[in-house]
Amino acid sequence: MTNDLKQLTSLLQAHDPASHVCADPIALSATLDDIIGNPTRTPQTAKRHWSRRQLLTLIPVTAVLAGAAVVLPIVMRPSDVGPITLGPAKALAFAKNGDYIDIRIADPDADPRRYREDFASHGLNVDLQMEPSSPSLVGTMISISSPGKETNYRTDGFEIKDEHGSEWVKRIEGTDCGNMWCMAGVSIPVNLRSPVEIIFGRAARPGERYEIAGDPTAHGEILEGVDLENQTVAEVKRILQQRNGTIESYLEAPPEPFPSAGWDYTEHVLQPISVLDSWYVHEAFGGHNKKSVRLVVASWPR
Amino acid sequence: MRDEAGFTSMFQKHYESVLRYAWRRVGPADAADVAAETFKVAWEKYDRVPQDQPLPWLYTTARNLTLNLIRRDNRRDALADLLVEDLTRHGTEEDHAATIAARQAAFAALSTLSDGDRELILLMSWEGLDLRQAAEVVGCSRSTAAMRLHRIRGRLRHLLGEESQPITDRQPSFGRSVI
Repeated sequence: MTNDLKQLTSLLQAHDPASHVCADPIALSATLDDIIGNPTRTPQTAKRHWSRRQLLTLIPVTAVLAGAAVVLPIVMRPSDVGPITLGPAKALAFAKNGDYIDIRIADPDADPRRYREDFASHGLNVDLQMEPSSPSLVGTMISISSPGKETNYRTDGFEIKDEHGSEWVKRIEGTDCGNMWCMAGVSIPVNLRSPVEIIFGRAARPGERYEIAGDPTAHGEILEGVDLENQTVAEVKRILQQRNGTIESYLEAPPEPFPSAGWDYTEHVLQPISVLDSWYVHEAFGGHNKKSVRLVVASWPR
Repeated sequence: MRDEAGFTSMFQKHYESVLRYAWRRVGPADAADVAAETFKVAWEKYDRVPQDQPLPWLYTTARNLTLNLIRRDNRRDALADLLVEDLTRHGTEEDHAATIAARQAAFAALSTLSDGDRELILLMSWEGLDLRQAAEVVGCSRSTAAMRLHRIRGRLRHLLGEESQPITDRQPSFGRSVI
């Protein structure tokens, strides 16, 4: 550091406006309780996280289901549960785990009827939908819900609530989807009462558009490994060009630190001509094919 | 599943640093809110917080929150008010006029820097970060930060006069507003 800079920093250190500031232990404890003990914050955020992407990515199914994609089954053997057995239709892998059954996908390209057969053979009322997804989501479970019931995301799974009480479906970790959340599988109570619908990502067939796009910086995606934080639009354009990627659309960043639950990016599409290269990329969503992304941008850094 | 014990430990260890960071940028009224919000974000994204050195990540988040707050309220940076207040509080008769003027000139020079350049200096002065960590917080590479420092030095020289004269020995700079 130069002499001038050293003196300036010394001067600033001597005039630190917060040198007398100490955290109040009571306030500190209350703040910690509010963060960790708050029962609504995480679920709300997680739910919004998903629904936001759902709004972006779910489009009417128009794809023709022809031509089988070659996808290797993903079956991981957990160390602390019973042996894995394939269902009669060999679409799902089941493992008894106490009062729960761990379920993973054995054949990501199976006919949906085969999944229903396997679930039914275990007495489970589960409907599995397969959606063409971008690479980081293939082979993962992306969403879980219960028709007509409230489903809340919790740190260790999902709470399905109705007037009779709650049932819990646990997550099985082991996936890396960047800032999307996804699961390697689910653990369902043996005596599950509620019907459950699960959305599972499968590989898109040739020419088929993604129904669900993942984090474009996640493994296998077009911007894999790129840290977009505070990158300018020009920088991201350059990186995309190097990787033969394209920008499907620009979306306006929300004005607040955290977008309200009602913030719908599809209502805030910007004309490309109005987006300057000097603007900042706040976030990126995958596009409808492997090479395209949607950029959330603003004139200010995130 | 997130590590509640690990987060609690990080919170207890670094909350005060983040509180002070916020206090220095937005003043006492909003500092606690910014600090709390910073750790809420950290809790939500705990798997992305570097476990070995979380402070730069926390400062980055706090910085984004303070920038949003300042922009949202369309208000000027509270830093100016804080420094003026500090000068008033400390700049009493025991100080030589030249020293007071030197402070004023230095803070005036600081105020002419761009937000990013100024933040770089403040992070290294007040938060005690090294160049690499400060660069991480303002969102640039270490080499870019080094280049910025070089540019800042040139700017300081230009604003404060001759290179050979250290800023603390400067004569009063009449007519230059403080911040």
